[in-house]
Amino acid sequence: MKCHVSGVGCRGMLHVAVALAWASSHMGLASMAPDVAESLKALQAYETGASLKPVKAVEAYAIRSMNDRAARTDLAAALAAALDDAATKPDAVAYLCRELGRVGGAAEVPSLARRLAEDRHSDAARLALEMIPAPEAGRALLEALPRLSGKARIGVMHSLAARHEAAAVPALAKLARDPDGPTAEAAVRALGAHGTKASAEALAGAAGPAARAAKLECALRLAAGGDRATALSLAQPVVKAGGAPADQVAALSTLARIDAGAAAADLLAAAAGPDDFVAESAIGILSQTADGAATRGMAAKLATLAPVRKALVLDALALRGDASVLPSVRPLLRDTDGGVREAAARALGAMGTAEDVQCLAASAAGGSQAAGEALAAIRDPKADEAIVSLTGRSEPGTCVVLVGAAVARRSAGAAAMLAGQLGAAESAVQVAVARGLAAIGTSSELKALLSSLRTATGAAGREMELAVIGIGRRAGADAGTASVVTAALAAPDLPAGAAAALLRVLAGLGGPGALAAVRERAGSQTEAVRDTAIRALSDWADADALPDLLALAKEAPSPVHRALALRGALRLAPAAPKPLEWLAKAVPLATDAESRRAICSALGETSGPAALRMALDLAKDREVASEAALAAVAVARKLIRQDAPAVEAAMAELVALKPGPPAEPQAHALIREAKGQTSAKTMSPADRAARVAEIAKALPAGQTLAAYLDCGPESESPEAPQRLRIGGSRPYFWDGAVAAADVPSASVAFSDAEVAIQVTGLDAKRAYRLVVAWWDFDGNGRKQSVWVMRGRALPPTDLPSGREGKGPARIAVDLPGADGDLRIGVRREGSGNVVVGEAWLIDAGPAGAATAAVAPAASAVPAGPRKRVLLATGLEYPGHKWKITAPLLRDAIAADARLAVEVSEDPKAWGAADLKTFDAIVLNYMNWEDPGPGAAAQENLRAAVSNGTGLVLVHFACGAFQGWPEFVRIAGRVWNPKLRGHDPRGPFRVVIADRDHPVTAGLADFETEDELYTCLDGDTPIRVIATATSKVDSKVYPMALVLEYGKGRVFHCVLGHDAKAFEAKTVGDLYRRGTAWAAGLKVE
Amino acid sequence: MSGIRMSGGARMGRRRFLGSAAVAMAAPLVLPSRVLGRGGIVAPNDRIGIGVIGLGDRGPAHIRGLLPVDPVRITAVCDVFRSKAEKIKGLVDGHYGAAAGAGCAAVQDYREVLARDDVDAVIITAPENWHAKMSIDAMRAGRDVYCEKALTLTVAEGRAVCDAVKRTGRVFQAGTQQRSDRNFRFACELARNGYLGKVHTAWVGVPGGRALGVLPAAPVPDDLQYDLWLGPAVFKPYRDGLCTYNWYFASDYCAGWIQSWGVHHVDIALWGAPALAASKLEVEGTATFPDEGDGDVSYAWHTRLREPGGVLLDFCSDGEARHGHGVRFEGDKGWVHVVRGGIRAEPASLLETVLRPSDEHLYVSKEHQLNFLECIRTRREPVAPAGACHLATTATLVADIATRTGRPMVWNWAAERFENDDAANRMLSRGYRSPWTL
Repeated sequence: MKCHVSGVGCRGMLHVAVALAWASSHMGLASMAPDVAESLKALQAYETGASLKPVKAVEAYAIRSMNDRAARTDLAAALAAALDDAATKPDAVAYLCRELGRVGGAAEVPSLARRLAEDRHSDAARLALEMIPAPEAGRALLEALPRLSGKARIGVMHSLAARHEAAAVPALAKLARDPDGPTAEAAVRALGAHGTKASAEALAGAAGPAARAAKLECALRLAAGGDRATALSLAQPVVKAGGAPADQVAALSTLARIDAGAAAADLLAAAAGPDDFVAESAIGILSQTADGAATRGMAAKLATLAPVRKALVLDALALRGDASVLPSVRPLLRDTDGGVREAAARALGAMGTAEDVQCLAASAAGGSQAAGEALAAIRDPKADEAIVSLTGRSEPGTCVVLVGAAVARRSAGAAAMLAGQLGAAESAVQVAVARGLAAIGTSSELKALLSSLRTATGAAGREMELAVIGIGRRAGADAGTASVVTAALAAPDLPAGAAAALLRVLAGLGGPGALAAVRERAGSQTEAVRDTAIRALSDWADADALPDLLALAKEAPSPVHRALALRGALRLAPAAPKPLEWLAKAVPLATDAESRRAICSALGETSGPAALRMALDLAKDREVASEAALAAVAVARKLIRQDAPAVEAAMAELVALKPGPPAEPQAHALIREAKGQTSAKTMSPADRAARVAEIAKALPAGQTLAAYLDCGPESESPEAPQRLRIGGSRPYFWDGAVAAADVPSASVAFSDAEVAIQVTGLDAKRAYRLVVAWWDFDGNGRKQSVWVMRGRALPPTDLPSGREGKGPARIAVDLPGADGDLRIGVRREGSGNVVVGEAWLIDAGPAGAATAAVAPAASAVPAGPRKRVLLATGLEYPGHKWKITAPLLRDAIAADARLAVEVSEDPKAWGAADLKTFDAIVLNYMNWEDPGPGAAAQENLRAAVSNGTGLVLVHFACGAFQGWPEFVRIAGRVWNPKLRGHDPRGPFRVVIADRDHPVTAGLADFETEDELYTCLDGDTPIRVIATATSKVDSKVYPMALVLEYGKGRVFHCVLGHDAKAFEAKTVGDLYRRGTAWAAGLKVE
Repeated sequence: MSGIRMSGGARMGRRRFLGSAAVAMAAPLVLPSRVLGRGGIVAPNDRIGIGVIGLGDRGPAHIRGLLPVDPVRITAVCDVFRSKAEKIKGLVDGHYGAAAGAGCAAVQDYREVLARDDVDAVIITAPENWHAKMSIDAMRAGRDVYCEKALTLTVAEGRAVCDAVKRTGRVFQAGTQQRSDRNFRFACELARNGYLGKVHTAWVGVPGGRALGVLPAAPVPDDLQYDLWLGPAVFKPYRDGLCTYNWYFASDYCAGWIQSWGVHHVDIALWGAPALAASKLEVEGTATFPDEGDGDVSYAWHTRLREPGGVLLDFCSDGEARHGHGVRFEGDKGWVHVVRGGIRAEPASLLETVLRPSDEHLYVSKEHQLNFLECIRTRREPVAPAGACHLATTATLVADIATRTGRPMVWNWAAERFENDDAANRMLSRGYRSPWTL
C-alpha cells in the first residue's frame, strides 16, 4: 500500500485506504508516504518546547495537498483519526485542527465537532469547521449551538455568520433576543456579518447600538454581493433615524458607499446641518464621491454656507478637480473671510487656468500665501506665458509675486524677462528680480546684470552681486564668468561704487583670473580703488589669496587694511594646504592682542602635533593665554586617538601654565582620557595568538585548550576538530572598557534573551569543559544562567559590575559526554540583556578523569603607539561579501606590526568620526544601501585625506561615492557605470608596471583569480603601478595606482572581489604595503 | 463591547478649527507649523492627548519623538507587560514634571486607554495580529489612529480597517514613514511623470527574516497578561522569549519580514508605479523556511508580481535581490534607486530634475508624526492612509502566499481574491479566538 505523495499510480488502492481509514488510525497513517505518517505520529506526541519539525512537515504536506484530492483525503482521514486518538497530547490539537481546516472534508466533521464543547480546543475546532466547504461543517456548527454556552457559543455564532449559513438565521435571530446581554449582542453582530437578505429581515426589528452597527454592516455586504435594493432599504432608515454625530457619520458613509447618487441629497443636507462634525465629515465623504451631481450640488451650496464649511467645500472641490465649478469658486477669492479666501486660492491652484493668474497675483500681493503658492501650482501651461508677460505690466507688489512664481515654475523665458526688469524703479522689485536671477540666471543675463550693477545701490545692489556670483558658481569655473566681470571692471568711467561691487563679485567667484584683476587694483595709486580691492581680497572665497593677504598684512600702509588682510588670511588659513606654515607667517604680523587671539582660533581649527606645539608656545603669552589654551585643547582632542601619550604630555604642559577655565578642566579631562586610551576594537592575529597562548599556558597538566572564541568579533572559532560557534547574538564594543580590562572583554556578543554557543566535533571518549568569560561593565544589573541542552548547568548568577570596579569573571561548565554537537545557552535572568565576552573549550583528558578548576591569570593586551588604520566597511554591493573580505584585509594589513588596524562596520559611525586622527583609511565600502554616510561624511573624508590621512581603496570602493564630483580627484579613477564593468571572474596575470615605486619595489608579477576591472574612468593625474590585460578586449587596464590629494597619499587597488581573490600572497602584500605607504611609513 | 465608548461627538467639538483662517489644505500643500501652535503658548483645550498602545521597540521611540512637541500630551501608556507600562510612565511623568498633574496612566488593557477622557488619538505598536482589532475599536470609540506597519495580519482584516476609516471619518495614519521622506517621494514623482521613460520594473529588496530556535515552555511571567497579548490569535501555551521581538517570525502574529519590512518598500513601489495595483497581478515566488523551531516565516525569498503585460514588481529579501536593498524604479530611459538616507539615479542628472507645474506632485509631508498631528486638526487624509497601506500589505501577503503554495497564481485587485485558487484564498483570512471579534 505504499504510495508516493503525488498519488501517481495508486488511485485504486487509495480509495480503499480511505474507506478503511475509519476503521483504524493505523490504516489511515499507512496509506500515506511513510515520512509523513511518521511526522504525524510525532505530531500527536507534541508538547510545547519539543521539536517542531513534525509540525512543519505535516503543514508543508497539507499545503501541497490542498489542491490534490486524493492526497488531501488521505491526510484528512489520518488527521481526524489522530484528533480522535485519546493518546494525542493537548498541545498538538491546535495544529491538527489547523491542518484539518486546510484539507478536511465532510468525513472529518464529526471529529472536529466533538471538540467544540472543550473549553481549551473549542476555538481551534470551530475555526477548522469554518474553513471546510462541505455543508456538513455548517450543519455541525448549527447543531452544536444549543449545547454550548459562553465564549464557545459566541464563537460558533461568528463562525456561522462567516459561513453565511442560511439555516443559521432563525437560531441567530432567536439568540438576538436572549436575556444575556453579551449573547444577544454577539448574535446581532453575527446577523450583521451574515450579510444576507434573510439576516437583513431578522435585523429589521432590532434596536440599539449593536443593531444599528449590524444593519450597516449587513447593508454593505448586501451591496457588495449585488443586492443594492435590500441594502438601501436597510441603510436608509438608519440614516433617517439620526442619532449621535458619530452614528450619523457612520450611516451616511455607508449609504454613500452603497449608492453615491442616492446618498448625495442626505450628504448635502448634512453639510448644511447643525452639527459641525457631521457636516465636516459629510463634506469629506462628498470630496471622495466621484459623482458629478454631488460636486455640482456642493458648488451650488457654497454661497449659503458658513465660512468654515465654505473653506472645507472649496477643498473638497479642489480634490474633485472638476473645473466646471470654477465660476462658483472664483468670486470667493475676494470673500470677506480670510480662511475662505485662502481655500479659494488653493482650489484655484488645483483647478485654475491662465485666466486666474491676474487675480491670484493681486491676492498674493495683498498678502495671501496660498495665492502665491497657487500661482506656482497652476497646471495650465499657458499660465507660464501669462505670468511672464504680466510681470512687466504690473504694480510693484504684484510684480514681486509674479517674479517669485516665474522662478518657482522655471517658466520658459523667465530669466530673460527678469533681466529686462532689472531697471525697475522699485527697490523691492529689483531685489526680487535679482534673487530670481541668482536662482535661474544664466550667462546670457550677465550683461544686463553687470550693466545694472553700475548704478544699483543698497539691498538691490547687493542682491545683484549675489546673482552674478550665483550664476558664476552654477556655470562652473570654466565658463569664464570671472573674465566677463573683470572686463566690466576695466570699463572706462566706471563709478566708484560699481567698482567696489564688481570687486566684491570677484571675491565671491574666486579663481586665479579674478585674483589677478583684484591684485592689480590693490596696488593702485587711487585710495578708493585700493581700499575696495583690499576689502575684496579680505573676503576672498578660496585660499589662493593667502600670499597676497599676508603681504598686505605686512606692508599695507593703512593699519585698517593690515588688520583686514590679516583677518582674511586667518579665515582662510585652516582650510588651506599646509595651514601651519601660513599661521606661522602670520604670527609676526599679529601686532595686537586681538590679532593674536584670532591666530589662536584659527590654530584651533587645524590639527597635528606641530599645531599643538604652536598652540602651547602661544599659551605662554599672557595676553592670549586663554585663547591659545583653547586652541591647544581643540587640537589635542583631534590628536588623542592617534598619539595619546603625546597628548597627555602636552596637556600636562598646558595645565602647568594654569590657563584657567574653560581650557584647564578640559585639559585635565583629556589627560584622563589619554591615560585610558588604546585603539584596538578587535584583537589582531598576533594579539589573539598571545591570548590563546596565555590561556593554554595556565591550564593544569593533562588539559589542553581545544578552541577559543572572542565572542562578538568572531562568530566561529578557527580551530579544529572542536569548534565553537556563537548564534542568536550581535556584536558590540564597550567604549572605555578596554582601559579597565582588555580588548576581548570589551568586545562582546549580546542578545535580548539568550546567546547560544554551539560546540561541535566533540568526542564522547573525552571530557570537556567550557569556560565563558562575562562582565557587567556598565553595571546594568545583569544576571545570567547557563543551560546545556535542556538542563540548567548554572543557576542565575550576578555578573561582576564594572561600576563597582570589578573585572570580568569566568564560569567553567563541565560538559556531559557527547559525540558531536552540544548546544549551550547563556540566558538573561536579570535586567539589561545577556552578554558574553569570550568562550573557550578545554579538553580535560579521557572521560572520567578528574578535572581541576581553571584559573588562568588575566593580562592586558599590550598597546603601543602604532600607526592607526581604520578599515571602514559594513556596506557593499551584495555580490561582495565584506564580512569575508574585511577580515582578510585586516589580517593582511595587520601583518605589518607597525599598523594598528581598527575595523568599523558602521558607515554612520565612521562617516561621522574624526577621520583626521587616523593615519590611513582603508575603504572596503560601496554605498549600496541605507544608511549611506551622506555629504557631511564625504567632506569629512575629503578633508581628512587632504590634511594628510592616507587612503586605500579596495575593489568596488572605486564606486563608493557616486554623484560626488570631487571623488575622482581623491581616488584618481572612479567607477564609470557606462563602461564595461569587468572581465568575468577568472584567472589572469598582474604585471608590476612601475618597479620603482615603494609600494611595488621588489614585487614580482603574479597570477591571481579575480574580476579584472575595466570600468575605471577619470583624468586626474595618477601613477599606475600595476596592470593586467583583459581577455575580452586585449586592452591593458590599471590594477593598482597611486596619487596624492592635498597632503594625503592615496593607494587605489581594484583587486579583491572575494576570498579567492586574496589567496595570491602578493595581493595581501600590495594592500599591506599600500596601507603602510599611505600611512606615511617606509614600506617593508 | 462594554468598556468602549461608541461616540465621541462631544469631545470632538473641542478641537475645531482655530479661527476662521486655519486648516483644511488640499492634499499637495503643507500646513504651516504655526497652526500646530509650536513655539507659541497653547491653550489647554487645544492639547492633543495621545495614548500609546504597545511599548516594545516602536512605542517608546514614538513617545521620545512626541514629548518635546508642545500641543501633545502623552496621557496614557499601555502594554501587556505591567513593568513596561510603569517604566515608560516614569519616563513620561519625568519629562512633563509638575505640569503633568496626576501623571499619565499606565495600564495593561488597551480598552482602558479608549475609555479615558483625555485621549484624543492613539498610537498602536502592538504586533500585527492586534492591528485590525485595536485600530477599529479605537476609531469606533472616536479616536484618530496612528498604527504601525504592516496594516494588518491578513488581507481580510485590512479591508475591514479601510471600511472602518470610511465609516467613522477618523484620521488614520499608517506607519509607512518613508512617504514623509523627500527622497522616496521624489523617486516616485520621477517614475510617475515619465522622467524614467516607461517604467518596466520596480525592484524591491528588504532584509531577510530570521529563524528562531525551539522556544522553551515556561510559566507566564507575573507581570504579563498573556491572554491579552495573544488577543485574537489562536491559543498556544506561553513560551519563553515569544513576547519580545521574536513574534515577528511566528506566523500566528506576523507574516515575517516579508510583510513587516516588505511593506515599507512595496508601499513606495506602489506609490511610484500605481499600475501595479490597478487590475491584476501574476504572482509566483519561492522562499526558504526554517526547518525547526517556533519561527515559521520565510527568511529568504524571491517573488515576482507582474501587472499583465506591464510593470513587474521583483520583490526579494536583500540576499536574493539583484540590486540589493532599497527600491529601484527602472524605465527605458533610466532608473532611480532609493534607500533611507540616499538616492541614486542613472543618468545622475535625474536627481537635479525640477518638476513642472503640469507634472503630478505627490503629497508633501515633511515628518510623519507631525503630518498625523496636523491632520488631526485639519481632518485631512494623511500621507499614508489606510487604503494605501492596505494595498501594500496585501501585495506582501500575496507574495508570501505564493511562496507557500509554490505555484503561479493570478491576484485580482477588484475582487480582492486569487482567481481559481480556493486553497490560496483560504489564506486571506483567519478566524478570531473567541470572544474577540471585529
